[in-house]
Amino acid sequence: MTQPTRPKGARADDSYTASDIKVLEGLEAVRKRPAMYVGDTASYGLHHIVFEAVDNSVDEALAGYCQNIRVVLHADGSCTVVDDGRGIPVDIHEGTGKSAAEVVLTTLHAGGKFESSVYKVSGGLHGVGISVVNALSEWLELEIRRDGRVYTQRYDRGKPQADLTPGEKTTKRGTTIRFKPDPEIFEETTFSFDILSNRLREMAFLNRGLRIQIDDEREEKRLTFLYSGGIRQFVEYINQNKTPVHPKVLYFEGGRGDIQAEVALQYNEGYQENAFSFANNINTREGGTHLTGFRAALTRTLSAYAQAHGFLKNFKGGISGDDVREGLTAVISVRLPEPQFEGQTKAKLGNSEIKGLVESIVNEKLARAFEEDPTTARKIVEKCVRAAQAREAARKARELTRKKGFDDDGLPGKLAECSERDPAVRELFLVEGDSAGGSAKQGRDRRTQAILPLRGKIINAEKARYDKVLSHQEIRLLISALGTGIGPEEFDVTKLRYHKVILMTDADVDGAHIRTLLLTFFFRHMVSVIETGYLYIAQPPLFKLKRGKAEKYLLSERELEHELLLLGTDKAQLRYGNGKAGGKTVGDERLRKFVADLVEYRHLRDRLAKRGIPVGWLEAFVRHRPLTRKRISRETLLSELARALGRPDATFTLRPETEDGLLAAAELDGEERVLNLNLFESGEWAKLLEVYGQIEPFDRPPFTLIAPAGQEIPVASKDVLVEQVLALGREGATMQRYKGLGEMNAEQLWQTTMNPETRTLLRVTMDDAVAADEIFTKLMGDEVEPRREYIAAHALEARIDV
Amino acid sequence: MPERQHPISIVEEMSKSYLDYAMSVIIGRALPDIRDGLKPVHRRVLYTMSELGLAWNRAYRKSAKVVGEVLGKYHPHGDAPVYEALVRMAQDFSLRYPLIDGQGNFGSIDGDPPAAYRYTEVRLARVAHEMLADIDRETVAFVPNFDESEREPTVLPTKIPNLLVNGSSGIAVGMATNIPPHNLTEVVDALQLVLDNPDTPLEELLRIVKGPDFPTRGYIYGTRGIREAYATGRGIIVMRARAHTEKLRGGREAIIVTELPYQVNKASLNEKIAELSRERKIDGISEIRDESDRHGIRIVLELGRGELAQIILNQLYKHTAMQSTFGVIMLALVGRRPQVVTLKEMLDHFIAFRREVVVDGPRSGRTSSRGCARRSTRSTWSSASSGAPRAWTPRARPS
Repeated sequence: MTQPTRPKGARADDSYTASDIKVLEGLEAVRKRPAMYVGDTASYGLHHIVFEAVDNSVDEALAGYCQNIRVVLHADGSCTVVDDGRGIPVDIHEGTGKSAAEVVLTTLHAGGKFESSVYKVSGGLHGVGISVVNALSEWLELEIRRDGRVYTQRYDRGKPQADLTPGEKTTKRGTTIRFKPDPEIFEETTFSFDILSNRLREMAFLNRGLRIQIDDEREEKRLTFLYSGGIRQFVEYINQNKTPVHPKVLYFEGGRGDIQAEVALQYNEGYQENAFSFANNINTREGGTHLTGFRAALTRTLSAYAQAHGFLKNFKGGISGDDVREGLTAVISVRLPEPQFEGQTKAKLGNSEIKGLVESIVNEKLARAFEEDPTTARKIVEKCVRAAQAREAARKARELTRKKGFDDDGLPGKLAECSERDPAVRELFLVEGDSAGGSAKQGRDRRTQAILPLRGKIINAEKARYDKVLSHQEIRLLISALGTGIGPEEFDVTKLRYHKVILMTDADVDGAHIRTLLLTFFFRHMVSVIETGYLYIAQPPLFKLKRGKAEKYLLSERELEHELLLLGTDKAQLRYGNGKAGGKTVGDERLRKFVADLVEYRHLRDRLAKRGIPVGWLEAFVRHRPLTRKRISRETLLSELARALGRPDATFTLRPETEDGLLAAAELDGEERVLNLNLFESGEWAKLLEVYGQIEPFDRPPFTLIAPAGQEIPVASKDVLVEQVLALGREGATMQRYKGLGEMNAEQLWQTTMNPETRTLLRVTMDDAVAADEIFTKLMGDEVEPRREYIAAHALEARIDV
Repeated sequence: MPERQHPISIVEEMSKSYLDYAMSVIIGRALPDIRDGLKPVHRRVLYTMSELGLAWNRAYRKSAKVVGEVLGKYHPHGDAPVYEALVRMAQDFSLRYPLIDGQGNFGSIDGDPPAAYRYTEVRLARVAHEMLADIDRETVAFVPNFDESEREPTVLPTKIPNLLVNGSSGIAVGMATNIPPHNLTEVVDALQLVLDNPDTPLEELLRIVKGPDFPTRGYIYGTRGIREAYATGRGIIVMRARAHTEKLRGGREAIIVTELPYQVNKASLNEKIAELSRERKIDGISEIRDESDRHGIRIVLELGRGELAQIILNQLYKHTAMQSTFGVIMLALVGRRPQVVTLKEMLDHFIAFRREVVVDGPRSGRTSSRGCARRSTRSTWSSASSGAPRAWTPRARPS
């Protein structure tokens, strides 16, 4: 990604001397190669630095000194992490002569966690600590409350601007870090509330009693996580939209020496396993010795119980490891002083002593729990026996798919195979329907691109049972084409015959639906195809705009609008502020920018309007100076509202605060109108003001739009102006809207969507398995109510197509 | 050139794709608009037919012509759903007041499929003209079609309270609607009452609108469900087939079924009765004969000697579709939001809409009769939408 590129025309080797060898010092190295430290410079890395800061506070909690952590996302794009731990030491560090805090913030691999006497166990070990946060921030403000004083220090791009300075007195202790991710480093600088809150929730589950709060000042959102039940509640949370087999979550803990292990589990009526394992709060996504130990003990105990109590009388064959995993939700968390991580992504625990420890805890305590509560035991074991029976049925169904093999499945007739043999360069396009399949087959590069048309809507793998899914015709085709086999025993991602599996559905909403169905199948039955990064989504264009001989394909409505704006402002001019003397004229780049800003402004404004604030009010508010100031007292706000609306006679009065926010009401024309004052503190409002600032100099209606041909179009308002410019852009242009891929000629489809040189692909990633499981359960599962609630809560975000 | 790749989290992609799909189905496909009671596909069919000049007193034209026009101009989806929608509007056993006058085989209550669209012919029913009247007089908002080459109405300026009189049913995502048909005279009387007194209580409305009026007739068993449906928007209505007994030769009796509950398939009902009789779940029916013809339905169930008709009839009600329920969910799009409405709210919305059509003229774009949207308090979104704070909450009326 950030491969050093050799300067063009670099001379022969002799110019490469010792002076070229550069030792990057400290934080400079981090800034130079950020991806090495935080993964990448996109969304993942951005959120990683917040977690890095939070980990510091969690370590204080693990050591028993911190009860509260608060994360605040500010409207200016910065983030604050506050804790009430001991505070980073402020005394002078002997080795360097700087304050210890400064050392921690400016030196890689510095900190208390490398000395096991300070922190017995620590979670932040995977990273290099808070110094990385500092290095990758545009600025960072540090505040330490310790020894009765508040110490502060500010850093710009990792460099201290002054020494750590003691300030006012305090009795509190703790650390506050506020930082703004550096846009020079990160391509993406907007924090996602959902990503952060999911991880913080996980943290709170893993550290019972620790209170973590997240505030989003941009959108007035707040969540507080505090779980006295710890991972027991975690399991309940994962199962909340599922039907549990037994009401109570089983929970065991134990330890040896410095090692602590705890396990919580509950079965649900679903077919999927959700086992999450953690070592020192780090999600060991690839499992490891703790998970292996747990599974071995679970299989052994359940199997033994089933045998001993006669559950297997009518069933030949025993309960296998896969059977006990069906419908299992489990969380395993271990804490140990010296964790060793293995595997490709360092997400697998390697300490061998852990396996035996977890195994013996579960063996012993699960057996006892079963004896104490035979009802629960019976329900669980029955569930496993059912799973074993279904496995048997599925095996038969699978044998059928395999025996029938290629010929009987009609795969050669359906799959248009490519000639290349190496999976690494082969691509498989899963195309919706035969109409599109035809275009794709003709448009492809037959060397590397294979096409598999899927007809109709495929089965919902979330709702249907395993053997049902397997007997679905389209799914069988898909499995045969992929070549991986299916099912826990057989599926092997290394046998995948294509290293790019590309979902290419129509650009309409039914295409979106089929995409969700395919994603569900992959997530539930072939998750490693996603984890290994082989699953992609094609991006077919939505529009073709043709004007004269120029053709342009556009991926979204926004792109279309933008393109029309370019066309509409081309050679056009705008006269504004006429009516008054000295109307001014603007054209070219400035006109383009003005109209583009105007469009942005309208989007922002209309989004606020969707929440119920009349457009006229918003227009009046942004134009009313007193309301646009940064800090504004509540009294001024109330009195200026009416003035802004040109209704000084009316008075807005405060209502008692509700959970909706702070409401103010006034009587206007005999009708009571209510306004939510949170508007003025929202990030959207700030953004609206900012954009309005750009267009304000020109916002002098009426306008006159002068078309390239010299024709003058009078325009009354800025809203009409946008319409006029768009209309001008449409003039002489023909637009085609693509609903299905079949509408495109083979050549067009190749050019826009399939040609590796020109296409854009989305690579499906999965950072958060808990969140992914949750969304699939909610959107594709049996329960209707959670789905309806989700749709309702997010209704405004949807792109609606009629 | 390396290819452009952007990572997308599976959670984000699922959420986005699913929401687009779900909301499009909710708003753009499966639910009727509270004002004209039509889903987009029905509206497009009717509008197309009026544009084609297929008036009630002009000649019929091929359904294929209409379907083709609808697809080409407004509805870029499959042909089958369009034809199905068209057919249903012509079936007198589906719509209380059919909006389309069909020539040819449009299917039957036995579930026979209609003839293919190359055979059947259509024109607007007379009543449909009342739904389209004044459409060219800036009464309703128009929007561009999918490729911006045509314009189509967002709603029809209907004089007929179509949602109530013809009802509607549809399954969206996470929600469904099922509104029974009503008698036009009753609904219009109720509208007049509400027009005179906007605060007309439900009791008075119930005196006029006594209950649904199904095109297949039959009767409704018990009134509690009706009342509940009108008061809350949800209720369960029990429908029964109408039957009487006739004396046969030799002192035997026969049960004659002449009217069926709404949406019951006659052929499957007969099969079911035969099956139950064969399995002796219902004993005493000696012969089943479907004597229905162009004059109406007539299912003859001959009974054995000495069998009591009333007992067998009760068993039939219990075990077959001769007694069916209609689960009322009066869910419709108000503005762009799905909302469960009461009878009174439906009437209010219709009056507000007529006021808009006749007095105010259309509002721009797709926003709807805001005026009455305010009054409703029970949105389907309800508190679940707290994620998006409702900034501007109008005063709620005391309820």
